[in-house]
Amino acid sequence: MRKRKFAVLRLLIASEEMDAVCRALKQYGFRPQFDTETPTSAYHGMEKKSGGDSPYTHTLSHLRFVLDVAGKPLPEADIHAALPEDWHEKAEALYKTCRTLQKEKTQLQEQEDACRQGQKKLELFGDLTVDMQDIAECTFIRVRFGHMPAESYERMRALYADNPYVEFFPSFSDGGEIFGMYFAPRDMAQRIDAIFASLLFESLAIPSLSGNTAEIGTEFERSLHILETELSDVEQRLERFFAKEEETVRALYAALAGAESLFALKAYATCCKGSYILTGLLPEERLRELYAVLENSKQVYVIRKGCVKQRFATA
Amino acid sequence: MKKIASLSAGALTAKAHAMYGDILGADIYREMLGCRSIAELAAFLRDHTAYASVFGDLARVRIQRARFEALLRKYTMTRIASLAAAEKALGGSLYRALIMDYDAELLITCAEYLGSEGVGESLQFVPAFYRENSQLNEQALFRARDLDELDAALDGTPYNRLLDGFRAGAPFSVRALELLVDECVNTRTEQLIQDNYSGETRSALLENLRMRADMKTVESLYRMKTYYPDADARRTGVLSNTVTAFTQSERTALLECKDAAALTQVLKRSAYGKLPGLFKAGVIEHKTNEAMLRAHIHQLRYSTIPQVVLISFVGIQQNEMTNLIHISEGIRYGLPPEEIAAFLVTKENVRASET
Repeated sequence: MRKRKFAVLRLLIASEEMDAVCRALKQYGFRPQFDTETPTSAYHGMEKKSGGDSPYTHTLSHLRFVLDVAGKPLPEADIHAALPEDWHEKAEALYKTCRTLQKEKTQLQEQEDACRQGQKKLELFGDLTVDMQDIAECTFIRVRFGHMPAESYERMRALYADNPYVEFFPSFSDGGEIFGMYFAPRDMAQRIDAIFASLLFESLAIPSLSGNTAEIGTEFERSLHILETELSDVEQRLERFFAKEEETVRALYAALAGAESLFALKAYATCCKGSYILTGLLPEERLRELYAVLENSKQVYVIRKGCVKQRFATA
Repeated sequence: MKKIASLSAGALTAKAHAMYGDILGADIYREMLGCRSIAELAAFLRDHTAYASVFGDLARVRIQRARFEALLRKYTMTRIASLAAAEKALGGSLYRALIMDYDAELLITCAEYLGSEGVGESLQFVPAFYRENSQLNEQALFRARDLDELDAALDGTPYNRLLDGFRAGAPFSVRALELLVDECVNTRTEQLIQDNYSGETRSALLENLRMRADMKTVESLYRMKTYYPDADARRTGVLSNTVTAFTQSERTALLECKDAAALTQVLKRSAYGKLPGLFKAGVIEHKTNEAMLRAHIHQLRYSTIPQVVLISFVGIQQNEMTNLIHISEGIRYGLPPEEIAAFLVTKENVRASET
């Protein structure tokens, strides 16, 4: 990559002109650098490299969230845009409304996912004509839902045919895998579980609802229908919100991003008796334009300290 | 017919060579070491290797360690069975030796489960070829819950006298049974080779069989001399195996040596004294497995005897299964890849240790 020529500038700026000068510097591609030559002790008042945390960062992240939910790209920073007095309140109100709607949508989506997962699992045990609630409440037996390889099922039938406690009730077969359940008396559960474990049985947690599998399936359908209606309602409210507020959000974001970039530039300045000292690099070819803009500023002094050649990316 | 005709012999050798093409290489091992769970390892094997045949239908279920190992064993046994069935179809009799190996595994697995209600997890997916050709009653063995039932299950089989010593009062342990089973299976295999083969084939097969038995003995002796140098090795039955390449004087010397260093000196003077890598530093099982793999790869490549090629392929395939079990265990216990890699015995390890 070709090296570019940069002028090394040192500016002394009166505080009342700081904003305007920073805008001009940004516009002409000024790259600030920390002033290592000026001793801090030479100044009273503010410390060098001051600036602290940006007051805009938090609000910007909130607006970014809103735009992200809307699926819109982030607007460019606008350093010339005027920031309204109540920018913080406005941005927070937009964020709160959006977050509430988004939270509601996420919760409904999670419920819908859980319902669908439950439905899928239930399909595997669809042929069982037993009441799930009754099974879960059994006092003397434990029930295990799960699956085992078809080979193991055959082996179980051959080896444990005479053991009344080792009985598997298949409900669904998926090629080499058989889904179903077995029962074990509570006092023998450990032994029976060990037998099934050696047969490579793996248990599955299934939804705890009352009724048999067909009834639970109907219940899932009903719940899914309600959830879908609620979800579409929330989505419509979100759409209306974005249709109404999108322009405001974008304008506010652009202005705040611009303000933050100016704030970041100011953070490089050293404060000295109501004035600021700012050091940095400016592309050589834009120096004349900057001088022309700053000509009208009475309280800005520019010292050119030489020039350097740097690659653009590292300047 | 006892010998495989030369044309058929070529077919068996070609089949073994073709199957050797599916043996996992260094790149695959390296990628597997990067897996973070057994499910990921299974998915990798399914998507990138010939193991797709056993891991292919696991899309719906979450694989666990036991199932993973059982499927690895299924893959290994299916491939060996495929080769053994071809050998049987061509009129060979070496497949019976492989069936006897299965018998040994079945007997030991069932002995491990005596006193419990379960059945051997690792033998869930045994190919029909083994069941059809085994002289053991698999179901009766799986049902056995004590020594008497195990003994009854062995009635009418070639192993019917196996438990006589225990029934006469000797203390039963799975390790003691393992020594007996090994001795029994090795003796029967030796007899099978003596009866059915002659000349170069017989010598090569016997050499292979003796090396396998001796490497197992060496492992036991090393462990014993390292951890229990004062124990009387004569009473442990470690050298009870009569199928061996050690001479009688070497056997006596092996039993009498004081420690592992002395054992190494005796071994250096034996038939295995020139095995590359057997006497370098490291875990003994790793060194013996490396020696075996080196011999198997050499025989598979250069031997013109189909039975030797078959047996060599079986050794290579079983070594791969052991490697994969090491990897799955390492992943399960969260070991770093380089630590797991140290347990693996691969073609590349063998090549590296030669240079």
